[in-house]
Amino acid sequence: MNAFDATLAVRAYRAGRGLRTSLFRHRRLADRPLVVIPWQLGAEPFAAAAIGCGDRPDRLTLAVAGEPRNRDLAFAALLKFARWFNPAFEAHFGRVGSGPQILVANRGVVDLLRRLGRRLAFLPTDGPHAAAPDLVRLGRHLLFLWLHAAVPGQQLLVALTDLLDAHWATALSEVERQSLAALDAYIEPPAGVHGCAAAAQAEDLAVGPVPPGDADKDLAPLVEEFNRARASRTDAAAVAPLLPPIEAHYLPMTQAAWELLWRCRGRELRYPEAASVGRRWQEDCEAYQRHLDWLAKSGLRRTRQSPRQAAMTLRNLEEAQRLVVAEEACDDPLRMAPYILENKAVRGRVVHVNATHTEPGARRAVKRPLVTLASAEPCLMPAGKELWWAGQPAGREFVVESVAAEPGGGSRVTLKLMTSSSTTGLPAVGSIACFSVHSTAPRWLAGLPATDPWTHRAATPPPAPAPIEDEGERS
Amino acid sequence: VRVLAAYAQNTDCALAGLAFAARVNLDRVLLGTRFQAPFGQSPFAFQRGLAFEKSLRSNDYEPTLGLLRAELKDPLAAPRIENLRSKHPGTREGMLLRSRDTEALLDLIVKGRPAAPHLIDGAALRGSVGGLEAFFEADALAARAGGEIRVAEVKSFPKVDERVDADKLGAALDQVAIYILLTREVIARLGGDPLRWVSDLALLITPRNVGMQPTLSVKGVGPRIARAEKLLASVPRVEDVVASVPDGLSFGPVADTKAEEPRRLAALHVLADRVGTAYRPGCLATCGNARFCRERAFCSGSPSLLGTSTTRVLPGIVSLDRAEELTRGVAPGAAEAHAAALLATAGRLYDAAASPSQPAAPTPARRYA
Repeated sequence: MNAFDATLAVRAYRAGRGLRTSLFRHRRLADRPLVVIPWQLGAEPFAAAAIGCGDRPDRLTLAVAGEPRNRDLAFAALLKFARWFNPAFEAHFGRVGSGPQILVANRGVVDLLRRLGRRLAFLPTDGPHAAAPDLVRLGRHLLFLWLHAAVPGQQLLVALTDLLDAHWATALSEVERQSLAALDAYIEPPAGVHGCAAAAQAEDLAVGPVPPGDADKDLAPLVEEFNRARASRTDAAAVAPLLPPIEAHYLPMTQAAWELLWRCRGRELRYPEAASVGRRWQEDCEAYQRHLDWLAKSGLRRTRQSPRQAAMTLRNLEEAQRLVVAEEACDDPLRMAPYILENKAVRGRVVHVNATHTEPGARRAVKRPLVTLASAEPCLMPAGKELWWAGQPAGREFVVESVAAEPGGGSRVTLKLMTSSSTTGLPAVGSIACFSVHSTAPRWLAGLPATDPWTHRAATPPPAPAPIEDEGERS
Repeated sequence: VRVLAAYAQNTDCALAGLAFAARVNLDRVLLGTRFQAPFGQSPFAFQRGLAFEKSLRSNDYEPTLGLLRAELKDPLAAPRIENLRSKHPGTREGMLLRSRDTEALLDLIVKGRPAAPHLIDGAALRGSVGGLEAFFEADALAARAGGEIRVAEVKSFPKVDERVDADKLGAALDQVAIYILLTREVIARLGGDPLRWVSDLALLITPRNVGMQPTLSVKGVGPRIARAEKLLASVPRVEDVVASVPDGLSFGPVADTKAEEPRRLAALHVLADRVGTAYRPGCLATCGNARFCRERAFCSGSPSLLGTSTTRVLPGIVSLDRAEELTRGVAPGAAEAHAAALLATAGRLYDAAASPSQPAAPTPARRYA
């Protein structure tokens, strides 16, 4: 946390409610998101005891497994979910610039979806333990979503705690901000209640995926009764009439989480979308289309990347991170403010533009326009530092020519544009302009050598992905 | 162990020290009030752990022995297994007996006697925390004839694609590190060379994939052992904590679930005022009193409410309200001067960027010829 975040946090404390950290919303919120609220059974990692889902606030459906530790029953509930999820997810296939958005409560749900995906994606669809093709398809979608979720600024799988955390300052600690209910209560507390008190009251509301211990204590006798009544039967006809008590247990929990999710989404929708969100949404949609193309061929993915793959992934993620940070700062003056504080950017009124300034070049004199800013803040930048105009962050760089302190704490900064080409513009005299270290111009990305160096060769190649079912235990 | 783990993380909190010395379980003190800690464990999580441990003991420990054979490279043709868990009850007296048995069994191993066990299930290790005696229950100690002793921990989280959850792995390895440390202390008491006898390779037994098939992972925990040693040594002596506490204070009136809530809380406030607390957001995960302390921190506007990453940016500033004034450009005191300059600038920048009077976006480009 830097001084700017601390400033916002103490202001949020004094105000007793959340404080916006940006003027815009830096993530796309799709019109019809697929909202998913899964619940685990205790710490059972690879099954969902119940999944609430839907794409409209007034249409929540709930799939309940009954006994998720039993493979057949767990799969039956997941299959019900898959039959809703797969068509909705695949509906955008082949439509350029169109993609699905999955909305979940927190990173715990993202992780659970990955584990479910890992379990389902590699199941055999023939042989003695054949799984429904819909389940396998669901698994591969979930694995793709989880892999894509690592891309900074992506919008296909949105965890609301991350979204709110990125757009609101609160006087909550890092641990407390992981609770969507607490975060929501702080951002918009009831009238006359301080956000901290509201958050403390709200934080026990569970949004999954791990239910509170007390809820599971209420559930345990229901599951016992269910298992006694089904007497090892797993067919739908026998099990379905026994499920209502368990459904009744999960429905109020899911309903509460459901309303919370839609309320948080609705609040974020009120803010205007930032300019660069569209570009990132395009990238997301392209990744989505690539995934469906790949799925049509085989759809298998490695569970452990090869060293070459890992290096490329890391490089691409770092580039995406650089871009999203730069775009958010250049789109949004409030996001730029911390960089001004850290002397990574300077903002001020343009007092002079010398568009015809020339300098001796290698062969002949070249045009190197000069821009002079009057900033109200002191500027501690060395001459020669490269900056980009926030109005045109994809253009060429400017170089700090001179910095002079002004009486009264301000400074006067002269910048030199390092090209004579007119593709990079100049700010107008009298306007407010900001120059920062952020550039959104594409960078040359280093490739990898044709053969892996010996340091990066695995002794044994990573094993082919295999199902993780335990065939020994099928109670 | 949980109580100890909680205390080991809050050694700078006098109230937690007092509770630890008085053997008061802070998780239960505020039962029935609005500050009650949400530490209820799911019965399903509990069942899963039990079922996995039971499967390891099934068939005369055959699943466990299979894993150990492969790891220790010893056929363990006639394995001798001691189950101390079934021998003694889980009470404090039982733990004392178990720790004596453990010591006797370790003595056999060190002396190389033929009766020495290969596997001790539920070994109890005696340690001293802040000068108080405490017992630690190691899941399993394994030894090859004439070879090193290994410490194993059983956990029910799964291993998939040769990976486990990083946070849970870290916590489990920290636990094993403490057991290795204490086993070494026992060996040293018995006259053996602790470094030769007790390996710093931790064994972790977890289920593999979806089912309950056990698998064994090995990880060196040398640095964790050093850290655990430092941590245990840094726990202040409980006697000193108690000596610094004024007489006549007790958790009794607070824990009295029959009394009215305001009266119980008032008693705890008196206690906290006289003894002192040290709230950090990390307490919320470990200490049963944390929600109470959080409200105290909130009422006094203590910067610790926001966590250490924020307090580091606010050196010398006593309260969040004062910090807020500094962001509005109030003249700072001498102790605040360092942080105040940055806060004032940050506050100015925020006001400038957030106020609608400024142009929201950079003005459009003017092309030059």
